[in-house]
Amino acid sequence: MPKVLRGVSVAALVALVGAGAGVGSGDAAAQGAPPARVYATFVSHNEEAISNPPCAPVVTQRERYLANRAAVLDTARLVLERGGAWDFQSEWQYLQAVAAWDDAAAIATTDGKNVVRWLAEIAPDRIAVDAHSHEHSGWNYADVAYSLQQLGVPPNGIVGGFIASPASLEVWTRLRAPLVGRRAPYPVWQAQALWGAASPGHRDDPDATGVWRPRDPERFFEDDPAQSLPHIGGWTSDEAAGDGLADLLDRLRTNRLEPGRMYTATIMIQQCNLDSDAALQPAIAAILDRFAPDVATGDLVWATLPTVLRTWREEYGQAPVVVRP
Amino acid sequence: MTTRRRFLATSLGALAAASWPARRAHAAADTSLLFSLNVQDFAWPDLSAQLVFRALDLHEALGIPVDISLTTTQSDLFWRDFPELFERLRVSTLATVCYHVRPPAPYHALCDWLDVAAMSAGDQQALVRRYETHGLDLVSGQPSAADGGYAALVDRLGYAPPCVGIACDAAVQAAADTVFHDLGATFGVVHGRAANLGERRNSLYVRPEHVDLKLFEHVGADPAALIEAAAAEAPAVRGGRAPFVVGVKMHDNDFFAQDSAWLTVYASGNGRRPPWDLSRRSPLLDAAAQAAMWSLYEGAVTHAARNAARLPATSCRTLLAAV
Ligand SMILES: [Zn+2]
Repeated sequence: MPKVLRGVSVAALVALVGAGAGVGSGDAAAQGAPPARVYATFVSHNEEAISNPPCAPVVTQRERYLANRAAVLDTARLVLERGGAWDFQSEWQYLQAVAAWDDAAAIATTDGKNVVRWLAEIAPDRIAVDAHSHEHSGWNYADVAYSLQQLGVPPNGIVGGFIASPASLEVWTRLRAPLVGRRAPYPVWQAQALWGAASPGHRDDPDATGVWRPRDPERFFEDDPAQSLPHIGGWTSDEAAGDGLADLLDRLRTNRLEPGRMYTATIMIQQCNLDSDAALQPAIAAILDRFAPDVATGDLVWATLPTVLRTWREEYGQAPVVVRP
Repeated sequence: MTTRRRFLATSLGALAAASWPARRAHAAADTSLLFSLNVQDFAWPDLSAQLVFRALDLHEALGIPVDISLTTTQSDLFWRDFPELFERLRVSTLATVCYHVRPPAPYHALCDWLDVAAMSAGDQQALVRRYETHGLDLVSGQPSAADGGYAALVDRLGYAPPCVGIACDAAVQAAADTVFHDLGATFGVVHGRAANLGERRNSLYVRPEHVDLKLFEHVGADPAALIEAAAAEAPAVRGGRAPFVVGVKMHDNDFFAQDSAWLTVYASGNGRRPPWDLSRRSPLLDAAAQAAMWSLYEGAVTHAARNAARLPATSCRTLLAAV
């Protein structure tokens, strides 16, 4: 009996892990994939002034822009010193401010580069500059990516936030095909990966960890190997807090996640608070310090979204994972 | 655990926290008020401007957002003759300038004096674009040579008015929506059905609204009771989905004139074809009637301010952060 029981329990455990880990078949580990790890990055947003009055001065007033710029640089150094990762995602209006106000005096502090180019080039595995677009006010992702390109940041294909839920309101399936900009010169842009599936007003965000290729609007959480546009899950996307990440790491350590797979989490920060909220940079530092032991054990890797995408393709053989909080 | 969702899914007012750092500490509220003031009275421009000043003072004193929707004509009038008012509108963070189309634009519902409905989609779009990038001649109904329309308003404000009221006949709506979307608009105003956040009409989102409270029809009533009744009704509206929005609507002319200028000139026995006679002006309300209308409005905004934690007020700019 004990032997049989042990056999049963192992089988049950496998079934349990399989169910918990969603779509995985569990054979990746057997084929020599790297160990299961959590890949995490901070993601920051700036917004259009109109939709974000408290942050508007960052993009409408030069002085405030420059104060925020200095704080962005401090934050970048902080993230780099502590071995973190940061996806700096930008809407169109901030990029216009960069073009207007990153003059000779400003770029003297950033090796002669404007701030987004400096961020994108200083340590590409650690800091990425992605497009963020609500696709309002006559702009879409192609236009924002084009603006970035004009500032010296080549497109990395990351979609930094989009509506996926409810299915009837989704805007992402059209991003599988090349997207034409809404304004001159009507640039064409191809998304490489989605991040930040959301719902109107964040009332029912389709949160998950892992990288997978959403099948269709109704079956967003189902991997479809025939699709080429993957989604990188942000897990709980905590705002300037690490509790969701801690929970995910706990699941990893207690073998509640399928082995040999790649798990993902992001932590949101509001760019405009970097200079106006004295607690924000220390909070980022504290999060990086809190998880330093997990980095040391190899359970956690700080990596930007483009790096996550590459790792998923090259090291994890595109093994899909979808686990919901 | 402090998740993004827990931070944000507290109320429509807090929807803005999707991008705003200043999160409001509202208790969970699924219903919000959206005050909108449609400004269009070209016959009494001084009174129209005065009313907008007064409304801004009220909303800013009480911290209640308001959408102030201009026609092309009122945009031109304020820009040219009331620059101080225009600047206040432009920089206000509580007021959001929006836009609406009125006759004699031939693509306005029931005003198709040019037979726009019979044109090809491409011609319709070209026509709407010509109108929305130029001024409007109120006598001939033709676009003027000057810059104007929605496009000029975008330039003057430095932002694209997020909500547009463009009620067209069915055959023309798609062309108008396409042009406004191209020019930067996000939401189209719709009435008469549950309009849920995130739903679309052609390329525009619909501006969410579940109850259209025409406050101006209720002079003498208790504004608090009107708002509470509408707020109670909103979640029960057929086809509605949270977050629920009660539109609280007024027009500038409601406060001082018996009829709107556009009704007086373009609808009331003045023929439906150009040229139109701009000498016709609606009589003004008497002082008591004007005071009663203002008192109703002031009461409504005051009620919103007193109950903002439970029944927050939203606006088109706040909605912009939610989609
Ligand atoms: Zn955003």
